[in-house]
Amino acid sequence: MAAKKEVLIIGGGVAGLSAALGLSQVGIRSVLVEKQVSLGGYAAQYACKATSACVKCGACMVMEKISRTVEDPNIDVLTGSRVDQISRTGGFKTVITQETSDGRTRHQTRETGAVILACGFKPFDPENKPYGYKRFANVVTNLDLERMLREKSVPLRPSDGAAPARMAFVQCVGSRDTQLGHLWCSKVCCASALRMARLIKMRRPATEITFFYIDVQTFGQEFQRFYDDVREEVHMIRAIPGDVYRTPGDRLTVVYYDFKSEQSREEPFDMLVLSIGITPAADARDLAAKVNLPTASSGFIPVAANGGYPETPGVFAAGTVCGPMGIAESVAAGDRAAQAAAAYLHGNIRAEVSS
Amino acid sequence: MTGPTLIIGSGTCARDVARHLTSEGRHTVIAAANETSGERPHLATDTPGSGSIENLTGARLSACRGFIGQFDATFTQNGATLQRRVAHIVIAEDNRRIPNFDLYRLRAGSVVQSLSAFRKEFAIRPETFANRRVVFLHGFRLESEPVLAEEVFRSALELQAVSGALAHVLTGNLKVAGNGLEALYHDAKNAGTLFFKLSDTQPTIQQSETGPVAIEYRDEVTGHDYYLSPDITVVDEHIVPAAYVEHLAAILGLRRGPAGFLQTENVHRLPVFTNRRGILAVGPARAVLSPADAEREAACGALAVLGLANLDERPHVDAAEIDPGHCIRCLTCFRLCPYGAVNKGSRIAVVADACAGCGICVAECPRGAIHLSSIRTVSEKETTAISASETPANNPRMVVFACARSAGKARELTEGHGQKSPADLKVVTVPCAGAVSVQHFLSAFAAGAAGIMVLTCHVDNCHSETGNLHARQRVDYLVDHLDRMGFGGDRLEIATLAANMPTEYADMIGHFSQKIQQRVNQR
Repeated sequence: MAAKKEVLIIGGGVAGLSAALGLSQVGIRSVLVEKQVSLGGYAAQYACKATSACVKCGACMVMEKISRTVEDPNIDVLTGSRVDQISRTGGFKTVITQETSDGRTRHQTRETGAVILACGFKPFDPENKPYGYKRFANVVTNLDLERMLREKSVPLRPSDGAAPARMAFVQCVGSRDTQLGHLWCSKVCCASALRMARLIKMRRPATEITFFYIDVQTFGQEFQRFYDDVREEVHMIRAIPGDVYRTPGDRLTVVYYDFKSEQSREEPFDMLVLSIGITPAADARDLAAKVNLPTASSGFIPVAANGGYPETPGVFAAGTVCGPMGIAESVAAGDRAAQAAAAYLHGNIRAEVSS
Repeated sequence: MTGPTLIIGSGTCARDVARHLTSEGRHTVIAAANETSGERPHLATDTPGSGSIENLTGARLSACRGFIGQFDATFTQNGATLQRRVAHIVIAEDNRRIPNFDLYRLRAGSVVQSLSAFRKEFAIRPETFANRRVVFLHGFRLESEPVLAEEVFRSALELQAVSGALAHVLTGNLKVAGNGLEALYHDAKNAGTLFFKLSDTQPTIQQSETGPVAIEYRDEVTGHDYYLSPDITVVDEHIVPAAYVEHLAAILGLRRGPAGFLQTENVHRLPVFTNRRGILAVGPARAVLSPADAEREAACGALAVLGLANLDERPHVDAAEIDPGHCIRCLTCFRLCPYGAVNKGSRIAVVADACAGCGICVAECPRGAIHLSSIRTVSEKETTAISASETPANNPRMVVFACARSAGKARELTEGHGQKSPADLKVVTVPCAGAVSVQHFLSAFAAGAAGIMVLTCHVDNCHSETGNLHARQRVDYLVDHLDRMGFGGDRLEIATLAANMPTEYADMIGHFSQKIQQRVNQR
């Protein structure tokens, strides 16, 4: 079979978009398969968190990548689509099922020379944590807050649409959790939560914000300054709450152990934001198995798969399918996979010419 | 765009970039400013059918002329001058570490070592650390980085394996936001390392005249006071760009970020692009990165070079053109171009391949000698739009100049949600708000606009680095004059937006059009 100079990319989030655009730059076509109806993944729902200046969250960049991808003649975008089957035929033969907007199901087979797996992550489901998520209306996740800020500009209590006077963020929900066996930091939630906290303080200065944390993670070159400023504006408490209960008026009381006074403390809030962690995508293991990529016990694909393994030539992984990473890092991972895939395809073509 | 690629750097990252490029058949020149050549071969290496590497050792860039596709780089090497003509430049220079001795008021010596010095010594003679109590001071007076935390965790883990050795880590925020770091932290802890985290308190650190260190602190969890007299105190470091990076930035006209690294942290340049087309910054020259992340970035740099080499195959952006008949060589364009795309030769010209079509020069040229086809169209479009008869005569006419990259995208999203802009409001999309000149504002007012709004990117988020600042400066200038002329400075307004702010876009133009409507009604 002739070497195909085309790449199948599974997942149209930040890493998949970057991989497709990176390949296009060097003249390589790709088929971008996204199971949702729109591109961009979770990052496409994030709010701009700029205060007096850009805070480098990178969410705006995702919008631009989506437009460029859609307009790029080298990228064949298949949304509402899933990969049913991949077989190695020298290259890769992939069966794709697409649910079209008019409700029809379309099957197609695509032959490509390489595959990039960029199927993203699953946000941790906090229902089993003692924070009242889904039981109490005013307990939301950081992703809910991202969407809320994107759509409404300010936080509003889901129970009554009122502006919360007192808000709290709870970090590391589903991350750094030995009981769950989640021995990883989700890397992005400190940045996301603290940037959102400062945005809320700018737009609604009277809002009192508390931040429950284990360790604050560094982000950006000006982190020291950001951290000094944020401690002026946000009440930082180094503790992870043990319990949350509802009080009249749909308010929430957070119970935590205060090491300084050596006693349990309770604080009332109007709204609670759970910074839920990045966990492996539900279909990651299954898709990885289709292309013989190993999955670690964590459920993520080892990051070494970004540049590919000699045992599985032509297969690469990029983005949060390899573990927690933010927008900037996902862009780099997408580029890395594109570079590796391009080198692989060019190597095949050279081998074919010389044989 | 077929010339060789110059890679500036002495370390692994520079060699990685070269390796990726040569395997794609490209020719490279690695220029290392350091005399020490490390593992690199001294002679040019050629493999049949693939690219090549020419190694220049101890070659320091002293000048560079030219633009993407043809840079003439001059080096000094052993007192002699050396020149190379290259198509692209990749800066993959290493960074350097500064030990935080001063931060903890400690003096370096046999019992007080920097993290790097300790790592080096431990790697060679781990057995000499038997029965030693080692305290790592890490990130409690200055926030640290996962890159350094990884080295502390790994050192502690390895130390615990040495007979009788004990590792203490005294830290503020434990930086675990790196690949595998949380697991490594647990390994170090399970191996017996004692971690103490201080959030509000500071330890008392004292060093006697003869050298030994005494550390006192209160464990915030148990409330117990601790007194340590370590055999060795390891002090963490902070990472800064190599001094050579500053020199390179000055020669090549590159903007730097707040900590001095190449790039300005502008998200639109990620991962490896700089403000100059054809010049890339990868790895430790660009940011604090783990070795694995730097390795990944070397590949991103190689991909970007291949992409630039393929530019001819892709549609060109609209580039600015200078009319030599009107140019007075005042060099305003040369000074202000954020892309360094203006060639100051026998005649001043914009280099099309280096131009991103932002139009800042068009707006700033005092002679109106620079043209950009997209801006010319804007000017015509806006005049026709304002004077169009479809606007009811008694309704005020308003113009919004919207940056295509931010407000233009936000508008698309707003309209995608079914929201329409008010009918009496004309939105003129421009490549960058920095392209809209004072003349544009004046001609829009002259054509009958009751109000003008400029929507630009947030500070530090402009694709053209400074376009948003130019826009603000012009608006401030004109508002002041309009006020003094009694015309009403509040008719002209500027606001900042990002592409993912459709709600704010709708709110901003809603408020503005209401304000102008009220203003007209009051008359």
